[in-house]
Amino acid sequence: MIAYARPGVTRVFLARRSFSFLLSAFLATSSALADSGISELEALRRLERKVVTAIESAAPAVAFLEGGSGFMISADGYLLTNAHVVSDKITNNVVQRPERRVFNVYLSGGKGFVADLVGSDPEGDVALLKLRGNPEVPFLEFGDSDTLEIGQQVIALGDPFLIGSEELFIEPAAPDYQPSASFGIISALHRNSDTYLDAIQVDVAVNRGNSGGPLLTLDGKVVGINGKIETRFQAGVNTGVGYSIHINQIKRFLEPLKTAKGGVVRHGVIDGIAVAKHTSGGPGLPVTRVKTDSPAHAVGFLQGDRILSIDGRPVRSLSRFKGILGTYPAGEEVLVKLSRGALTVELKVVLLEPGVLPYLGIKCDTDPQGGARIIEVDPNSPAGRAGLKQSDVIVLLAGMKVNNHKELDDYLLMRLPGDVLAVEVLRTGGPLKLEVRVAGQTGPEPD
Amino acid sequence: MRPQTWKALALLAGSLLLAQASAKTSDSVVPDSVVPETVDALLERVGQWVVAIEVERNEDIPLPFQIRGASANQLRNYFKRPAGPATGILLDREGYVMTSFYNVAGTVQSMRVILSTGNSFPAKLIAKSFRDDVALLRIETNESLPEAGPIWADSSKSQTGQILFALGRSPDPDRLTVTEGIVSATRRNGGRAIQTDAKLNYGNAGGPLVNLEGRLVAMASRVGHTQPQWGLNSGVGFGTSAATLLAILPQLKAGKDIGPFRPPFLGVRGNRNPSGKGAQVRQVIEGSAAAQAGVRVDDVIREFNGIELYNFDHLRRLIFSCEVNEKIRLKIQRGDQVLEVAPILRVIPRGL
Repeated sequence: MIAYARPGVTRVFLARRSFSFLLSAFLATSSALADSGISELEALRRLERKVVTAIESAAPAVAFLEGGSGFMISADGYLLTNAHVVSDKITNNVVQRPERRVFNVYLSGGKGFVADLVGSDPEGDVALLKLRGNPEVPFLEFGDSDTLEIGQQVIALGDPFLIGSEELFIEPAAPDYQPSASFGIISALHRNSDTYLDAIQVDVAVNRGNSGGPLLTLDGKVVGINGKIETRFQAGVNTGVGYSIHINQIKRFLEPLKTAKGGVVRHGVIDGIAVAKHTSGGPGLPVTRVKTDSPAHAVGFLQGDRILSIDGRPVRSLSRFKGILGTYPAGEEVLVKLSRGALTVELKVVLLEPGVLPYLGIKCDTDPQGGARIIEVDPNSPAGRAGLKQSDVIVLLAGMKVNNHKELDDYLLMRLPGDVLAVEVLRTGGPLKLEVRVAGQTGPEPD
Repeated sequence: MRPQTWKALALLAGSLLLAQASAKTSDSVVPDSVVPETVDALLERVGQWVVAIEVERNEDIPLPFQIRGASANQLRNYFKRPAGPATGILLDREGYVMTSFYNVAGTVQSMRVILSTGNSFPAKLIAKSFRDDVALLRIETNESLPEAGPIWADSSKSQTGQILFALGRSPDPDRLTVTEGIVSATRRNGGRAIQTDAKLNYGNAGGPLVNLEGRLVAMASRVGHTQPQWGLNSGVGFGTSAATLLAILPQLKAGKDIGPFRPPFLGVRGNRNPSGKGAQVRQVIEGSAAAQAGVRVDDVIREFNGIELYNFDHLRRLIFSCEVNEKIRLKIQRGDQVLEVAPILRVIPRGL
């Protein structure tokens, strides 16, 4: 069972007398340095200084949200947390679109702010908030999660069991807004757990309330967001298996999140291909089908291609295929390397929302004078909201001249849901410039 | 550096530790004065003053206080512990032994302290503190006891991230149980306890948390206070800090129990709006310290003892850091006026 880490099985005593073997997370450092002539305790003291320094520098940027944790990522008040911290609704392990938009946020030390939801990525379990009032706040620097290694020492900061922000003590004590730190190692990389398609697995103690808090390397940089733990029997406490969303994935979502205007950012897929469940021994993952006239077909995929890598990341299984793609928002372009018979082929592919085509909400024919003439507008569509009207003639879309309604359709297909396009129309009385935000519409599934 | 010099420095450092320890507790003496350089040696030394306590007691464990959200049964389970000895800390040659109160709560038939040497002695309860989950025992013997006892850390200098070892002598008094971790937070429970991610379980309660110098930073207590896993490790464990222990030991040695924390009470209510400046008063409780000092609804409390307030939570936190009958200074904004009042905090009236 997976519990979102707003919630862990207990570890029992494992170590007894053999002290040299018990120093799990410290072992790497102490034994490595012990070889270089430094005493075991001196090695641990050096490690301690690093850990203390990293926590000291990062702690002020930790945020307490009601029900979870977060961290500041810019001086002007952008804050990252889990989508499930800002939305209580979780169905089939997928976080639903948040309904609340405004949140109380406290920074380490207790200074409080009101924050607005800027955008959320429910599939990736990431949400971006911004503090109101343009404050000047401490923030964390991003690390590079591609360079992480299994066994690497990491630190989690956050608010387990909400002990820093609620009154949970045996005796009354007001919240002290001091984040909790825990220390451990990276247990595995590229873990697949429900919608966490490319997660970092850690043995760091993470519990209910840690959700949304940062995972740090010893240089104090953030490399992940702690979001989930494995737990059984509803124990609800840490088991030594926690999952973090890696920061390089989040970096790719940051710009779409910032421009989401409180909405949702979708993950991208290669629209129009079906892939095999197994590599069946060969190199890469076979493409079993390519839908005619799909974006994948248009870009040049062929049935029987074997996907070797995506953006340089080797594809050795279906779970890695999904894992790599799961770290990109819709609209991002990736380089797909294919093996095709004796050839190696590289394709640039724009990832699309699953089963979603760009949609404006108009029907057009071709105007005799040139351009696409609108014959029908859905008032509740992007076109309707942008102020496009029946009989308007579209002559320019995103800088491209529109000669007929076919061209309009083609140009639109090159766009993505969420894009804001400049539209120039001819309306009785002269030209008119408008902006329209492209929406998505479910298109035909690959067969 | 030549090996000879290094040894001399180590010896010097050792005697410095000794001097500081004597300054705080005149009767604790360290047998070996060389700073250990392996974890094995450090734990060997510390282990000398970690003791096991066999407790025979009735199941009539009292519930000294309530925990919001916990049933009486849950709470009673918290104060029960599995069979087998508990862990304690031998403080000095006089035979004082410190442990978690919850190891000895209820009607005690007999207690025996088993030293690291394997010798065991009967012991009796001298005093207890509900507030910090501490019980002070004393070994009853005419024999002379070993010269072992903790060197205290200056826990006011504790930093989040410092490495800790948690030691226990449960379930087997002959063998130390050791887990490692870091200081997770330095000022829990109103600043009287630290938090650690060292794996703490039932058997750790009453045992020491020591730093890389082998100094006593805290005594494991309130293990696994979070429900429903009382007493089981979650990576969130607590220890009553050395500073707190040193502060209450004289009173305990004098045989005086320390009751549960009496929360000081100002008598204002406000909302939890986090932003804005100061604590806005929404209600003043009749007859309270605030009412007597003339605090009114819609006043904004700007400062508490000279500390600028962020919000209402901040005010509450500062009140809880005070004691009952303590006089405080508040700076209040009332419309355009700024005034100062000095209420004396009282106990929370019944029913609030």
